[in-house]
Amino acid sequence: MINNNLLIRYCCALTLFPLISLTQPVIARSSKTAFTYKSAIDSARGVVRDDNGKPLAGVLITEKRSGRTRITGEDGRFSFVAQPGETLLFDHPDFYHKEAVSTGKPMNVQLITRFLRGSTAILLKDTAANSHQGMVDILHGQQSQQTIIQSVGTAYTNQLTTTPASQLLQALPGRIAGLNIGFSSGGPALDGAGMSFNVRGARANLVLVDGVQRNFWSVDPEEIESISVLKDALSTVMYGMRSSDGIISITTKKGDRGTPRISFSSQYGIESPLGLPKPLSAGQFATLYNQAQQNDAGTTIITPKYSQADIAAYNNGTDPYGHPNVDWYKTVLNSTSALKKYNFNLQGTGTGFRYFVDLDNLSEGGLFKTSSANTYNTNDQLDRYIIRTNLGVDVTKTTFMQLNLFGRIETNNQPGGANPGGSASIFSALATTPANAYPVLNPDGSLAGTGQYGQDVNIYGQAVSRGYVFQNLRDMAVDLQVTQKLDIITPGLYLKGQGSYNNSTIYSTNRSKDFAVFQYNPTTQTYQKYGTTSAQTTVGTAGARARLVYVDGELGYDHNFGKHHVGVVALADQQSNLQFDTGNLPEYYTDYAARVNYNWDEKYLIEGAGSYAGYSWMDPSKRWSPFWAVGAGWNMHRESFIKNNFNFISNLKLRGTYGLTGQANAGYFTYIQTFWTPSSNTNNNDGYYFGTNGVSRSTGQSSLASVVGPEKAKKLNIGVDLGLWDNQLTFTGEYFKNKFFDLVGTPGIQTLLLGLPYPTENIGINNYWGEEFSLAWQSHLHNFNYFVSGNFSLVQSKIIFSDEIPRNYAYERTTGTQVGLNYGYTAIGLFQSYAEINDPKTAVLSSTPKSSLRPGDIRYLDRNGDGVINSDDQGPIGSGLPAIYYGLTTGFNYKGFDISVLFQGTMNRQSYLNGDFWNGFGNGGNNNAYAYNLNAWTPQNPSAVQPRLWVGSNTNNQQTSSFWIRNTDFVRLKNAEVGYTFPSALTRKIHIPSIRMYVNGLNLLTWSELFKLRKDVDPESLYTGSTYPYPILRTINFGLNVKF
Amino acid sequence: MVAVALGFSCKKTFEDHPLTNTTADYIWDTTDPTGNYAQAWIIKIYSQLPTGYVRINGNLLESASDDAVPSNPGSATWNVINGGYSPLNTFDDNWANSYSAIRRVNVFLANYKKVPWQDPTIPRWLSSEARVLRAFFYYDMMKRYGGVPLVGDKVFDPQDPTLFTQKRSSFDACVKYVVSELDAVKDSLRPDATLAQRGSGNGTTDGTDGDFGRMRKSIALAIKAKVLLLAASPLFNPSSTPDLDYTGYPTYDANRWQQAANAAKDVMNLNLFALEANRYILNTTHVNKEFILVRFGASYQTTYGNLMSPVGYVVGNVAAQGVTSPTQELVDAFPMKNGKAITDPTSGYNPNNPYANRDPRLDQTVFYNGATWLKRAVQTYEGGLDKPNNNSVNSGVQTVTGYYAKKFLGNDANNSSYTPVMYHPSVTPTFCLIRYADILLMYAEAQNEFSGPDPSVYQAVEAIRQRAGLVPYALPVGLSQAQMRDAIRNERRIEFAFEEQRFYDIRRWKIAKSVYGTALHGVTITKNANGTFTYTPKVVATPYYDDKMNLMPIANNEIQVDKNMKQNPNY
Repeated sequence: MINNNLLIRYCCALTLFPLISLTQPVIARSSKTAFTYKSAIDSARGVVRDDNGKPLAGVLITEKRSGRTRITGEDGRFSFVAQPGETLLFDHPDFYHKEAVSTGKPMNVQLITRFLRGSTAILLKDTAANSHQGMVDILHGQQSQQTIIQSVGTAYTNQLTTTPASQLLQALPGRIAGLNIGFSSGGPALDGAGMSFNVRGARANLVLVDGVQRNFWSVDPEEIESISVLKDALSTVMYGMRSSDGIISITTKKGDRGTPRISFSSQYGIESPLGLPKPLSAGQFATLYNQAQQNDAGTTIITPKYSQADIAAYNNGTDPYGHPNVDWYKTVLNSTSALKKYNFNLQGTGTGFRYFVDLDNLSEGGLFKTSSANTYNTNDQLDRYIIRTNLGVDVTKTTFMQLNLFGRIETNNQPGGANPGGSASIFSALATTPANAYPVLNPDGSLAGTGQYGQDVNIYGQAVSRGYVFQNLRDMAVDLQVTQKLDIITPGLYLKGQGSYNNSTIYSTNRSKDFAVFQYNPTTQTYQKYGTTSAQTTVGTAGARARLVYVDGELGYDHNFGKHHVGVVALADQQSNLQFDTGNLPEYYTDYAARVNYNWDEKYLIEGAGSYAGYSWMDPSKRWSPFWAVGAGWNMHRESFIKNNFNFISNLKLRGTYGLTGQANAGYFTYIQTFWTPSSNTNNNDGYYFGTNGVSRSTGQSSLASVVGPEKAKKLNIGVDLGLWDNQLTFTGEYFKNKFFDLVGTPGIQTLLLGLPYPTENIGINNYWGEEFSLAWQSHLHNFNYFVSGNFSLVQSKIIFSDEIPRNYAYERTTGTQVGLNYGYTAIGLFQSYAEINDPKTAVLSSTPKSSLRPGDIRYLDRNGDGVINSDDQGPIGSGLPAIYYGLTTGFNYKGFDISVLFQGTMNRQSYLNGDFWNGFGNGGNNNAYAYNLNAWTPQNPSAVQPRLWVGSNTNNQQTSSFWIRNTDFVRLKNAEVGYTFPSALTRKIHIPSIRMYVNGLNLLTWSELFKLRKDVDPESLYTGSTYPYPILRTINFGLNVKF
Repeated sequence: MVAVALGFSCKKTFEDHPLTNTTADYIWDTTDPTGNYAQAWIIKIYSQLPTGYVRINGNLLESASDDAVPSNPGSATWNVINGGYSPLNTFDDNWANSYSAIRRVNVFLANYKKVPWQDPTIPRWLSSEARVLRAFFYYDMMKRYGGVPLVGDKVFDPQDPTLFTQKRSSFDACVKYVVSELDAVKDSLRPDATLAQRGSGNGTTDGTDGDFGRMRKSIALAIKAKVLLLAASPLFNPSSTPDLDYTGYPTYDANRWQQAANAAKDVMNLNLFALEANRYILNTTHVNKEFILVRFGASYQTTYGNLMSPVGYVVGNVAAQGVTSPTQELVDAFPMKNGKAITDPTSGYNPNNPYANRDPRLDQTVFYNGATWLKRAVQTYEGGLDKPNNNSVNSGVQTVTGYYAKKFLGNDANNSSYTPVMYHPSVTPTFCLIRYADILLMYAEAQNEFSGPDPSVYQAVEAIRQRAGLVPYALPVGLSQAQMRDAIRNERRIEFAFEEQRFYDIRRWKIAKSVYGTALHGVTITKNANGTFTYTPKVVATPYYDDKMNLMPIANNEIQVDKNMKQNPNY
């Protein structure tokens, strides 16, 4: 605790330092710029302000009647010689259009930040204020939207802060073309668990924060200036051994111009679970169990496990201890949990420095019920503090220093239990425990159970009587960047150096305990005890502890020679990742990289980049590799034949890139064949005993040496950017073709005769190609500002080579089919009768002879017609259709009201629905069955889409087959926000320029094909195999934001 | 750039590649005269010996034979009972484990001479042990698949193209190879322990043999006897597909029985083994007079008792699961205490009191209704404590046959609580792969086939029956060869129940189709008002069996990648 307090103080001191020392001069400065208007009868004059009530520079003001214009300067002031009653139009690329009527009195015009940025550009030329508009963050620099030829998709702060979630990336699905993010679970303290994302179909796991690959858990959406997705070879190639997958690059705010802008917001969200399975009642469970058992027995009539009296007792609840009927989800879970968030941030400019300070506190509760008998919290709970100070200092006229300090303190709590324990174990038990398993509590209040469900199993007990596990996480990071302009040598030359240090730790305290359960016998009124109740454990362990160091030295040159523009950057960088808790050597990524770009009059653009990159865990002979990319672009709208003939075309750019990228995927020094040292571990059968000598130690061979080089990709990207009518309409279309080769994998052709697992090789080749389209319309009718923006991505893939074993038939081959298809039999429906099964023409699996099959079992296609179902009837299964994902954002802003809505969806999405959860009565008949199973095949329900019920496992029906592949397309109302900003004229009376109230939500509505099959699951969070995750949450969130 | 340059120089904090990794240089240490790591290399091979007990779907291997079925209707073993197995769904497949062990042996043989052994006997022993282990792993495959690829001393490189041109050696070649290997090393193994070292004398604690379990001459000879008996068995002698040499011999040769008998006799002649007078010694000790080849390491302790005990028992606050339901066929195989089969009208068998005066081994093998355990009678009658038919509270499982399996459990009928007695302190239990009783019955079987039921055959079988406690233990005089064959087969069944013999014996004898491919039975026991019981037989399973299943299928992938590799017939 002492350490924690010190840390908090340290952080506070760091954060407050700029506040205290910097606000003073700023305030003084702003008082100097008080209004000193000359009295003039004929002027329309005033100040344009931003959301924070600060003077706004770069605003284009048009007098509607005459068309005269003014542009505001740093003080935001304007004045026209005009009569009162003139309508003035206010335009700025980052702010909504506003119209106001001059009154003759000084005007206070407050503009509101646009929801969508980047897709629009109000063309203000030759103004200093506009020089930073339309810049896109790329690796090691920025480029203007005008001249960029890399493929980069970007989202900005406003699109991120409407999403109420503890995970930053929850805000991104559907926002950026080419980026596909999925969430398979929810709940507090995820830190990226249950999330997956890819760029253009191929796996991607690289997130940069301010240019350094690191965790983004310590970043709060309010801190983010932009999130860019780098998609093509040219945009990523400088990252060398990490350049094949797309990169998500987060850029934090570095401080706006002007006096301090302060924002405070407070939010309260209500979360409720999506897709909780609906188990059968005890009576239904017993009925279906009998049905399943009889199905297994076939024509022999068996005595059902549950008698009619049993079923009646379940249904009428007369014997709650002998015949329990428990709705476990209701017993253990609350219907909602709470999400609370407070954010304070401050940014501005002083003389010679800029700053951004952010403090963020988020707490999220869990869904579990708690007991007042405990003096401690057993529920899931996340408490997180994020802190950031970004400070930029002009050390001299030519020296600029950027210092970023940021970190996170987080505590997580969850119910106790052995690994996995806690909430994972509870959700697993909820899904698999039948309603008739055991009562919750006995008449004497003790936790109920049976021999089968022994100690620690009672689900309510797991939630409240299992102690707790507490985790403390700390991330601390510092980035220092120094830029030295070397115009003294030659204009445009600069030298830049960066060092970045990140440290993260996890410590946990496990105060779990065991609890006994008691089985109550209503007849004898006696109790049978199972297991023991123990004292809480007092185990403290250190979890993952990591250090990440990044250094980079960069020499750059950027200069215009007339209409020629040349930009060069050459650099060396190195990142080392050291995972202390593994004891492994650090991994080093090293790049010597350079990029050259040239354009003529911003019309003809060419660019080339390359890197010579190393990765230290790879075989020395393969450790270093060169990568390169080139690109060209043509800004056609700058050609006179467009300018003169099609002046509604405000932007038209053709661009293309091609390059060779790489990805290290070698594992930890796998090129060295390793053996294990003498081990006496008998749990994994390494050790052995002889007679009375006790344990003998063993050595053995872990695996064969695996000498692999980096995976590589050749990537082509062709794009067109179009803007019409002053970019009110913008369109981007891209085509890409990526050939991934040297993919690391084990050979497909292998034999067990080797006696060891095969080592990996650079073996696979996969092609990915597809198209992406983004279309946005953003405009206004007077003060009604509105926008519609959609994106659509389509990805196709094909296995070019996978070292496949020789197949007898073409349809068995995976080569040439989509990447990642399941492999198995083709189902052709269900057997409807014994006659159909016993028909001599019916082919069956050799391990499920006809005597073992029943009507309602899955029938497989004998693809080669040889009369038997065997491996020659298997092949890739699934639609193989291109993956499609899309997003649609729309909204408006009018008179203080603003609304934004995001729909996100996928098409051609298929999932393999496998496991006990889908079949019912799994795990030897001990697992649960669900309302969905009521629709299983029976002779009375011959058109069922589920096979007949069975108990335990079933060889025939559980073969991998097309039967279990189902369409899981979905459309979500992913995010929506409704806000109201009080009129500034009103709020300024209490000296607050902006007060905004809002309601927003996450995962509000979902439509899915899967709901036709069953409604009690979520298409993204499917219960397959044996994973039963914490459910995805729907959040409805209320907030208040104050800016000044 | 300067910063990066500094960064590189800082790299010296760590080595360039991990020196923590154990490389081949450590294992075959040219500076260690004791060869510590090389000795440990052999240990891992031992740990790959089959583990027995509940290794198949949490149940005994025999739950897929005519001796038992799983109690749980949802057990995956039912899929095998109802549908058998195929190249895509292999069962009890040990191909991968065996070739992995064989590779380890071959790596050892290729490298152990690099160690500057200070004591020359150690490398001689170890290399011989390795070769005996290798022979055993081949035997373990041959009993499943027939002839398999013999790889000799070859350590394959993954790039070696000949990996994909290997073919199955003939069954004959496999037998010859294994026998020649065993013969070659049998006299260069660690010396056997004496009979006195094997038994404690008091019969309740372990003998003093510290190296018990190491491969020695006795084990080499015992494995040889096993292999030769397999070779002489009806499945292979002759093969029903004589043109496929990997499925057995093309023609019958009675001399194979003689070789098998001689090999078993060689073990008997060592005079190193004896039957333990009390069969429960086999459950409570692991160094005893009877065990020959054992596998240590599977830790079942109390858990095994929980798994097997009738469901009405609670052992250490944990409810018993009763996972195995022995069949009526197994129970009926036990004769009366007077040695007569229950089908013999003179046996005194009373169908209304079926468990009275039976072979004592019945009580040691099966929990039947009325057997006493932990101070109470086992109640497998309808509604009894161990067959409650009460699903209202416990949706667990119960016996489907009226019986539970008791083999390996402690003989603590009068103890008030269960104690996992079969375990040496701090040492995990043994699973006996070959014990002396096996040698005696192997001898009897082979000798009977070769020369008919001569006195030595009688003697061997009767030794088993005597130890079992049959009075009288003598077999009827003048049995025909066929009668003696039946007697020996039945004796094997009841003596070695749940010791992983029956499953392969019925295949080796080619009787699986007739004894297993038909209905298996249990009994419904109802308690009458007067306290007596009524026993009604019932069918509990009708297993699927095809004669092709006498040989197990080789996993599909092995056949697909290698054109020379042939599948067993009809799969």
